Formats: sequence, C-alpha cells, structure tokens
Amino acid sequence: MAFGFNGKFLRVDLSKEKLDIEEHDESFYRTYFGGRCVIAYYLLRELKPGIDPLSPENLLIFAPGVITGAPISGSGRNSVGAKSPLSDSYGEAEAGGFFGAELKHAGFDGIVIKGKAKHPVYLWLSDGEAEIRDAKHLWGLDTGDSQEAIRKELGDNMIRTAQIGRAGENLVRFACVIQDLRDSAGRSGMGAVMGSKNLKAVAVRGHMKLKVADPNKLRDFSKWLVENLPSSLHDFGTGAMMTAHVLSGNLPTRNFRDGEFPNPEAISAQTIADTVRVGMAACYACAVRCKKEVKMEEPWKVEPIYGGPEYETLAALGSNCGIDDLKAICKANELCQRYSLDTISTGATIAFAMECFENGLLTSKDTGGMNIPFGDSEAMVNLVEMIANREGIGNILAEGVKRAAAKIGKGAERFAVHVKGEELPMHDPRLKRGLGLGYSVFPTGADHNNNLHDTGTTNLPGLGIFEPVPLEDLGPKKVRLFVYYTNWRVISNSLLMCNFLPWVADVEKLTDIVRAVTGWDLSSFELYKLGERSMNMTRAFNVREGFTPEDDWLPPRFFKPQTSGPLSKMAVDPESLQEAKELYYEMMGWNRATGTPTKAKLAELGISWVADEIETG
Amino acid sequence: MIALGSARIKIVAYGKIRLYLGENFNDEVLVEDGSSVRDLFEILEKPEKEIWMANVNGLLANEKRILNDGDEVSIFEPVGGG
Repeated sequence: MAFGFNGKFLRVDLSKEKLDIEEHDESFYRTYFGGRCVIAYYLLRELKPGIDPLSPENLLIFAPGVITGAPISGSGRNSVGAKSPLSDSYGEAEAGGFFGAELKHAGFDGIVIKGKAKHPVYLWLSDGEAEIRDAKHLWGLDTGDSQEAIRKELGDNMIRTAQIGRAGENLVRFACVIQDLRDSAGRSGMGAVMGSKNLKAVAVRGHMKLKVADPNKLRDFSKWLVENLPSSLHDFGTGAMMTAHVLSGNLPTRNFRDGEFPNPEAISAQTIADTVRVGMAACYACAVRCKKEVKMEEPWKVEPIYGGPEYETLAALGSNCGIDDLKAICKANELCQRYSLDTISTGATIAFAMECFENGLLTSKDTGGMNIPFGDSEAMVNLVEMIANREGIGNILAEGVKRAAAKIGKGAERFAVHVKGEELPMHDPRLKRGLGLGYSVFPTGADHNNNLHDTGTTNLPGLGIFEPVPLEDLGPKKVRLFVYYTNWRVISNSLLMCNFLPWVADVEKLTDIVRAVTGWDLSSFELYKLGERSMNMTRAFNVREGFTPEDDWLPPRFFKPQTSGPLSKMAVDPESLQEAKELYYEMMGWNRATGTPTKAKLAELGISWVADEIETG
Repeated sequence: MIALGSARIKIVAYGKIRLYLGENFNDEVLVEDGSSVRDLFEILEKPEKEIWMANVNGLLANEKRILNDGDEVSIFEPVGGG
C-alpha cells in the first residue's frame, strides 16, 4: 500500500499534443521524495546541456512532494522547476496555497511538460484524467479574469489554477507562476518558461483522498500546533516588526546601498492590519494562516482576491526603492499577481533602474519622459506595468538586472545586485554572513528560502551543534552550521513542507511527520541524506551547464559598508568569503578547487548515475 | 531604576522584549563602567534561550560591545523574512 503518493506523473508533449502517464515505484519516492529532488532528476536525465531555457526543449515541471496534500499544516506546497531563463542555472520556485494538494488529490504526483504548443493552451487535470484545451481566448487576460473564465467553462468554482499573466506571455525573464491568484512560485523565471511553451494555465480538480499511514499521529501534531502557533505569523503574516529590520541593518534600502529608512512601520504588517487589510487566509490544511488579504479603493483600486504583500514584497517594492507608501506597494503587489511577476526581482530591478537614474546612466529620455528617482511611488507602479508589457525602458528591465546592466552599459553593472543573474532577496549579507555564503553557492542564485538566517539560527542541537556561533563569524564553525542547517532545510523543498511551521527545524518532529504520512520506517539520517542528495543533484546540473566557482560570489556592493545606518561600519570580507566557500565545497564532499561533486560523494548518496552527467571532482 | 554603577544607558526596547521588561520598566539604567551589551542583557534578565540584538547609537553592536555613559541602546529580537 502506497502512502503519501499516487505513483503517477503526467507527461505532456505540447509540440505533439500528447499526454502520457509515467509510473514510478516506491523506491523512486523514497530516494527523491518530490519537489526539488524530482525536478533535478528529470532535468539531469532529460535536458541537453546548453539549451535555451525559452526554447521548446526546456522542461517545465510541477512537483509536489510526498507530504503535499496530507492532512497536516504546511502541506500545501509545491515546486515548479526548469532551467532558468534568468540565471541559465537550475531554476525552481515554490508556492503555498492549494494547487499542489489539489494535484495530489487529482491522482498525480507531478507534471513534466516539454515542447511548445502551436497556439495558447491550458491543461485540465481532474481525478486521474488529463486533457490539453484551447486557451486562445485566455491569452492576454489577467490571472483573475483567466481563472474566472476557466472555472466558468469547466463548471466548477473549486478548480485550482497555476497560471501566467501578460508578464509570462511576454517572456519577462523573472515572470512567475501564479497559483490561485495569490500564491506565487516566484523565483527563477518559471512563468517565462510557461509562456515560452504557449501554456497559459494548468487547472486542477481532485476528489481522490490521499492515503496517509497514520492519520491519528498527524492529528496529534495538529493539536500540538494549535498550542504552539507562531503567533506573529498568525496575527500579521510576514513583515511585522520592520523597525527591527532597520535597527539590525537587514532591511534593503535604496538598492542595498543605504541603511537609513526613517519610517519603517509605515510599510509593516501591523500597519497593513490597521489600514488596508480585510482578512487573513490559510493555505491547504494549515492553522498558521499567514496570508494577508488587502483591499483599497483609492488612489488605486486593489482587489483582495490577489492577497496582500509579504515581507519580501514590502521590502523589494518598498524600502529597496526608497518607498514608504504602503498603498503604492499594495497596488504594485496586486499588479505582480495579475501579470505574474516575481515581486522580489521586480522590486530589485526597479531599484536598479532608480539608482541608474540617480547616477545619470538612465535619463528621462530613456524612460519616456518619466523621472524615476528613489522614493517615487508613482514611477515604481508605472515601471511594474512597463516591465510586464515590455514597454519602453520596461523592455530592457524585463531582462533582469544582469542583462539590463549589460545593455545600459556605462558601468551600470555596479548597480546590478544579483548572483548568477538572480536578483537578491530582501536580507543583507553584510549582516547575515552565512546567508551571504548561501546567496553565493546556491543552485538557483540568490535564495533566502533555504538559507541560514544567522540572526535567528545560531546552533542546531537536533543535529549536534550546541555552541552558538556568533552572527559576524564566517569561519569553520559557521560553515559547519551552514552545511548542517541548509542540508536539513532544503529537504522541505522535496517533501514539501512549509518552512514557517515550527517543526521544520525540529529534526525529530519532522522525521515523525514523514513517517506518519508515508509509513516508512525512516530515520533523520535518511532525511538528512535527502537534503544532501538534493544539493548534489542541483550542483551537478549547474556544473554540467558550465558554472564554475567564480559564479559563486556576491555582488561587489557587499564588500563595502552601507552608506549610512547600522551597518555603516560592517561589510563582508572577501577573503573570509572565499575561504568559507572552499570550506563549504570540502565539507559537502566536493572538490575544494572546482566545487564539483566527487564520484565518491555521489555514490555515497546512491546517485552514481549523476556522475555520468558531469566531469566529477 | 536599575542602578549598578554610574554609566547612564538609555534603553529602547521593541516588540516582545518591551512587553517582557514590563510597563513599569524605566528606560534608563545605570551600569558599571566597562559593562558590555552582554552584561546589560544579564542585568535585564534576558531568558537564556532567547536571542536579543542590540543597536548602540545607531550602529549594530555585538554582545562584546563596551557601553559608555550616555549610550542609547535599542534592543530587539531578530525577525525572519518570507
């Protein structure tokens, strides 16, 4: 009896308009679990190295995991993966909500899509059946209108959707996949890959209950959670206590340049609760209930169906653009949901443009007559529209900061804050040194989700690290903490389990949950190895694509202090980062000089076949 | 007021720490010369398992930072992202 999975993946060839079912046995699930590991499995096995990510050859993979859809908080997540058009590296993004659970309940453990449809289409999956349907009438629609049309024509208001808006259709390199209008598989440009395939949406409905091994045990965890809810998340969602971000220097301000942001509470989750918030919503089966819903009538109309801004959004479209106008941020967030734009990369790219403007590298001649200084909230909202439409300067910015800087020239590279082409999320590595190492070495580029946040995590007793490691440390003790912590944390993206649940960092509890869902007699050791497997497979993908240790590096801005504020005397020491990076490679069992997984390490993880894909270290 | 020495330190606490220190907490303490941020946290009875952070006179400070008469210390908890 299989618990936690259906044993079936849907294979879609859009060029040939062909659908197939691929079956996997239990050993596949116990090796790869789902999400990130499954995406890396398909990309390594089936993608030719060096392909254009926006070509029909790329694969687009929707991958929930063995936990997705189980009756326990945090199980609503799914991953979307492909070779990234933003970074040309391994690409992946995760989203909460209901889509992943619905996919499992429809009888599928994932969807692997290749090719390109001759005209816009959408996929319709329902209780073990699947079909490709015409989407010509949906192309160009905002996600809200498109979802409404799909639900109407299929006659079911409970259909869950993963969609693109005009940004995905226009191949904006940081377009994302919007699920149920408010949940974003945000990073890595997965929406552009979807657009390149002429795939407007995936619509899913399922009534097949996912079997779990020990529902009573899961109920016990649910009871425990009610007594131990993360109260700030439950009450406000992310983005509470913006003042603390400013006091620590963590809040990116004016393109990560400055440290002073006078009115942080103007854009905090508490202020949202007091002003524009009309509700809080939960993901599938989740008691944390951290999703904001905001509504506004003026000066812009904002519809609550599109949710509300998270911390990353508040900082990216707010402080990082020098903006403390909450209503403008809410409108820009809504536009990103309508058009399928990653709010992090969108905000970071606008901040880049604003700094270029302030330094004369862009002028009003380049922007269609618009001044775009830091702090101009109307300009920010306009630029979101222009990026999604690839209109005027928006056409250059839609390429992301790395490519935009190359096009603008005149030294614009110094304002392009990215790693491997992916714009930085909203945490400053001058403060969080371990996080800076993570930004440097992670397979998708700068990622905050699977990363060590040194301020809050100083030890890991569950894995035998007891002594707290100081915030500013980047020596062997920090690298060890980083290795253990990120190898553990990344398993969330294969299981999938939301990182906001308090049991994610609790080694025993999370192991117990996986046992209760799957019925497997597995150990924490086995789960830890899953994390290592995931890190090695994604590393191998990037090695095969030609990435080298030189690509594992922070933007130059972070080797100098902020111009003002709490970190105006602190910066990352490049020599320490170099040493930490090489030590990380070595602790991971990779070649210290090349960062390449060794044959021995891949064999130890039971994935020797990966060694055939790369020149091992 | 907590008075253990002659160095006058102004405290501004945020979030849960503000609640923890209590409504009657005076926002100034007198500490011994040469006291550090870590000493200040001990004086304020920081619970062992909690992580507090400090900003002294507008700059982020670690627990070894020595406090001087007239310093203003903001105390806050680390916050996550997402």
